[in-house]
Amino acid sequence: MINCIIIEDQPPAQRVLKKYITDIGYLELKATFADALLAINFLKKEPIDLIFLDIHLPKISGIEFLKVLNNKPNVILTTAFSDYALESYEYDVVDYLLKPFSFERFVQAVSKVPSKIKKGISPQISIEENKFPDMIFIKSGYEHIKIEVADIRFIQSDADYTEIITSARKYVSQEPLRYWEEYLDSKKFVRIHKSYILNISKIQKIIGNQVQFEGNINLPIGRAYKEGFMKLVLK
Amino acid sequence: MNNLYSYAIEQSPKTPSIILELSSVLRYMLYDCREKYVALQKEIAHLKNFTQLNEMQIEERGKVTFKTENININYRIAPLILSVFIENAFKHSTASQSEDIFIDVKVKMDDKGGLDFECRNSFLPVTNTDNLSNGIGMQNVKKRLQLLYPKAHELYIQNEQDVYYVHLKLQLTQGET
Repeated sequence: MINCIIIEDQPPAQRVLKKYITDIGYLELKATFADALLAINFLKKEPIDLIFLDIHLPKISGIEFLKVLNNKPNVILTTAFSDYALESYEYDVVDYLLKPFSFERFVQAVSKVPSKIKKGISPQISIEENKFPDMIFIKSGYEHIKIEVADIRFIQSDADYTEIITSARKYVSQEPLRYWEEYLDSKKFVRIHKSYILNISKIQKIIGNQVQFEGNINLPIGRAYKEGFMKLVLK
Repeated sequence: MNNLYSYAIEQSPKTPSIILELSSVLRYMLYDCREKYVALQKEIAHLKNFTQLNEMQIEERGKVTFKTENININYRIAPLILSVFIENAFKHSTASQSEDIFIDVKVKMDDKGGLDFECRNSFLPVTNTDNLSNGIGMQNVKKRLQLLYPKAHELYIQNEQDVYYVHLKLQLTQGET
């Protein structure tokens, strides 16, 4: 879904936009504002992908609003006047809809919203494929050190930081264990203890409540994690 | 047009009457206004249509009233003088307010052809000046009044804190149009 808001003072025009937003199916309307000042506060709190912005508004115009907006979301201008079309290029808007506009024209405008955001809309496939990284970068002083995810044996939590252990060496990361648990593919990396996540493919054997890695490294399996872990390994 | 489109999309039962109002307003502005003077009742009907059309953009955000009293249909008036004030009222109130708008229009006549026009509108000091065109409409109206109604008009404008008030007295003339 693309999160959007409407900034439009005239109720009939608001209703047309609301109807189109509902009809298109992949836009989620978070709020509607009759003037842009009210929207500014909202935008500070809520991340929004797309704004439908009228130009002739009470208090400050849509163009003035664009000028003061930092971290601009995608903007589609909607106005009954073509006078601002040229100027609107300066503000990098997605499209310029001249009221009244048809549903087809609306769809055309929305489809121009950069695909970075649109990813959420349709292809689950691509999400499945790309969701988990093949490599991670660990900050060390001024450097970011690359680690191949496949090389990781396990990740160990240690008070305020975590240690990432590969076959070759140990890396220290500022991220908590919980972060890595969510960040890495849960089919490959599994929690076996409140302090350990391990890479299943690196296990040598399981002995009772211990997991053994190459080089005689043993990790304990926590009681709470044993059942889930065994299921995953022996499936 | 945009508002009309919105009503049509919603299949609002108001759509046909809006089309009629709009076509009257356009017809009046395009054709009837070529005359120097028009029948007073035409101008009044136009003001009413024009007000109703503009009211669409306000809806529940405010209240618009239009009252006439004692209109004598034998008189004539220069077209589109009064509508400028109504147009301004809508423009200024919607440029500064997104709610609690009010616009009151009152037109009445005395028995000797004296027309008394009043228009009141709310506004706030913080205004989007983008759609306000530097008072050119008002300048033109003042010029037209001086040319067409020399010594037969009195224009009083009061700009209070949050209410703009126009009071125009016109001595109309009778006759064929």
